[in-house]
Amino acid sequence: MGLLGRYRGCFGGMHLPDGKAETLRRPIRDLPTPPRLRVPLAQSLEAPAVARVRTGDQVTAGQVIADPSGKGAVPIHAPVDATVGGFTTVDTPWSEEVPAVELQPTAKAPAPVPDAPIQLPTCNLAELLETASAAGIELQDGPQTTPQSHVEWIIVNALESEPLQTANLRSLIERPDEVISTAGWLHRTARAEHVTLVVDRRRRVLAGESASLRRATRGTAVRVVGLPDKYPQSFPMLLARSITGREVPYRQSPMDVGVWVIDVCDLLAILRAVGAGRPHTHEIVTVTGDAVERPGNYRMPLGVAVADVARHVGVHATAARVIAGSLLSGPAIRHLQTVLTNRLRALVFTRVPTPASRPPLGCIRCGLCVDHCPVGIDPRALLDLVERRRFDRVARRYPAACLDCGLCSYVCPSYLPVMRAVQRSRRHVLDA
Amino acid sequence: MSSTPDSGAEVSQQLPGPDWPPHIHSGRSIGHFHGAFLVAALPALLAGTVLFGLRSLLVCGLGVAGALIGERICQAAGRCDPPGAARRAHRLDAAVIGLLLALTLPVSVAWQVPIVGGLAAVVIGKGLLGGLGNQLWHPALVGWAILQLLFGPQVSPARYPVLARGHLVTGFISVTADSTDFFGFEASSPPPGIEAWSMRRPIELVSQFYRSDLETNRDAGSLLELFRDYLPPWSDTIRGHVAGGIGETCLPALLLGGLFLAYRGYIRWRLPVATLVTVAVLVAIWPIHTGRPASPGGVEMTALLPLLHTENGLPVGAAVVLFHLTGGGLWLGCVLLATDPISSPLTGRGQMVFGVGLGILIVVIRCNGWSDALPGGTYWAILGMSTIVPLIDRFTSRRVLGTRL
Repeated sequence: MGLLGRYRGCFGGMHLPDGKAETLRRPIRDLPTPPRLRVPLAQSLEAPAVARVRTGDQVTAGQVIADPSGKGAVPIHAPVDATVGGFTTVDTPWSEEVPAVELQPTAKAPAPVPDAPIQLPTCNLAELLETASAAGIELQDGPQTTPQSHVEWIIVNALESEPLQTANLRSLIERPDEVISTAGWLHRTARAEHVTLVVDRRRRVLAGESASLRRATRGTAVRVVGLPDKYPQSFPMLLARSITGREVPYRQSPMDVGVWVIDVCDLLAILRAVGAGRPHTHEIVTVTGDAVERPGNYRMPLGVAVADVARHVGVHATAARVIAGSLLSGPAIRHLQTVLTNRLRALVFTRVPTPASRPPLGCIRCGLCVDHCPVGIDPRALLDLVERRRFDRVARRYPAACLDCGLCSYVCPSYLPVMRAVQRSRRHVLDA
Repeated sequence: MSSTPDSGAEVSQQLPGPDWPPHIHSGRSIGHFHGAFLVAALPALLAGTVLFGLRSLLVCGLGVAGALIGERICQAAGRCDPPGAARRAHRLDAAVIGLLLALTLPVSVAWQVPIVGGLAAVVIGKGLLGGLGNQLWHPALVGWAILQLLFGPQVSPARYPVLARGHLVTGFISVTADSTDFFGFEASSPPPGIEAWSMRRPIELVSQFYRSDLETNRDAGSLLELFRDYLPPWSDTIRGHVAGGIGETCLPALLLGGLFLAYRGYIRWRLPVATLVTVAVLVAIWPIHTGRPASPGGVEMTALLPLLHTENGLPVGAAVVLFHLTGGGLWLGCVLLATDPISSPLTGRGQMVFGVGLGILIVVIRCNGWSDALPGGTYWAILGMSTIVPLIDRFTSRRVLGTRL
């Protein structure tokens, strides 16, 4: 916390043109279930889950179709009533040739979401984490099932400083009461000292802070805080610093200083898993970009292919690129049969073609990358070291602090591959 | 030591490509930087044209031409044919170097001086000393130093011509009159047939007072006399009706250029502000002789704290500080030359250190009487500070989040 009780934003960063108005205005809609789902058995980089169904089996929505194989992995549930069509491999935005279960949905319409009031039980943190994990929720920045450290501060992240992405903020706008009550419940369950809901300072009125949020927070421990939405303020490391004043030590996570950063979508997933026993099988994804005819936030089942999404939202024939996640740090999707996974919050179809190969002009030491780096790395120096292959010297420049925000390459007036160089050095440091 | 398979060269080839984030770019390229410096230098060029006549345009044009020829020579010698965008960026860079160099020259230089300067600045200062992005010193200042060696008396003459009232822009500077009966631009009309005054730089006259009377042959007897009889009013110094290089004298024009650069984020305000503040503070406390004693053979008077020194109730000491702040190449140096990204530190803290160091060097050169050996003290000071930029960078790097807690 800064002077006079105001919250200090992160160092560096940048206000980017965000283009969120269009998707923020529209309610979250369901993506119709496509005729074929291919549910990947590994969401990101962990060991793939082991399928427990066989070809031809009938599965119902929410049934476990694969058991976790590694530590910290989660089981995978069938998103809809379906017949198991077989086993295959798919590409996800992050990895290739991932084993997958192919499902042929039997019901055309997606399962209706019951609107019955959800009762949150009294339990302890370990039980909560176990339930969440069994429901297929991966909490990357959260406490582990056997908590080593005490959760002192819970930060519910509705800030979303990434351009175009509105999944969390839109969820908050639609369900402020549920978000607040779940945050309060999480606070009691984890025996945390503080719980803070972070919203975009510019959009807090839109988020209902003035009326419904304030009404919902009355009498609870939840504090609502507005922060400037400069990118990448919403990254957990930076939020922890801005809200609690605690600095996460190098190569550690916010949980190591007792701060649990959880975004609104994950919070609502926990609510559904713990309160109603519904596993996490659908993800809310912001589908947007200048090539999309009907942009908006869509609730889509696991295993949907990019082509299914494109067909439903109406993508112009002139679309040139598809990007998964943030425009600054997400991977480009290689082909339309790529399958979406968990933890994907945005999908951007854009007509802007791949920038013609611009010749790097050489660093003029303008210092923009140093100025904008939110963690204080000197990306220019790392690029120099990587190009000269002096990997023995990269460690003392702390490349592992990099958050992958991509601002260094974004601002570089010479179009240098600065971000890649930092990532290379980080890999070197982490592998060492 | 690394046994990793992929090399740095591969990293360079992977971006910019379709697959690697970030997928968007700020749209600001090197050309914008060079263009911004060019735009920022234009007000100074315009002011120089008004104050010193159309010949200023000729000198600047020749400087730019020389720099562009130098760029051509570099590309031919390096047998490199950079693709379109890079070639344009290099040319723009050379033009900026040539223009900035020409702005430091007096309007009275012979025509070959800016050409040689522009050529030397680009070929030696930029090409041979590392190439774009790698040079330690600002190429324009390297070119200026070379000119100083080759054409010393022309580049920093004892007397500079300044157009007289009624002869701005089109006046012909080779018909000049001595400035003994010059009492300021507003007050003095030139003798018939005379279009320009020839004047000494105020800062040199002030600097004479830092040495004792015995070492130097001062023009004025005392500080009071100096300000009353020898120097133009301070307002002239600000507006630029004063001896100096083409782009050095008009402070509003330089301020405009600097504000433009700072507002658009091409330079940071810290460096020039730190320099100016340091110069002001140091000059305010640097002891200065105030003149001959009333009785012959007496000891010369010294003001230990110039800022508070008054004579006959007039704040002479404060005037010393003001003339230091506005005189010489200080503004052109710290606004357009020292802020050059390549030869200045990376971080804000480093730029602060650079600015303070620059201010100290400038004052030391001026007040120790080194100005005779080093005419154009500001530029030598910038060259000197640029030399230690790698050192400054090393000790002022930003703390990485989570380290050194």
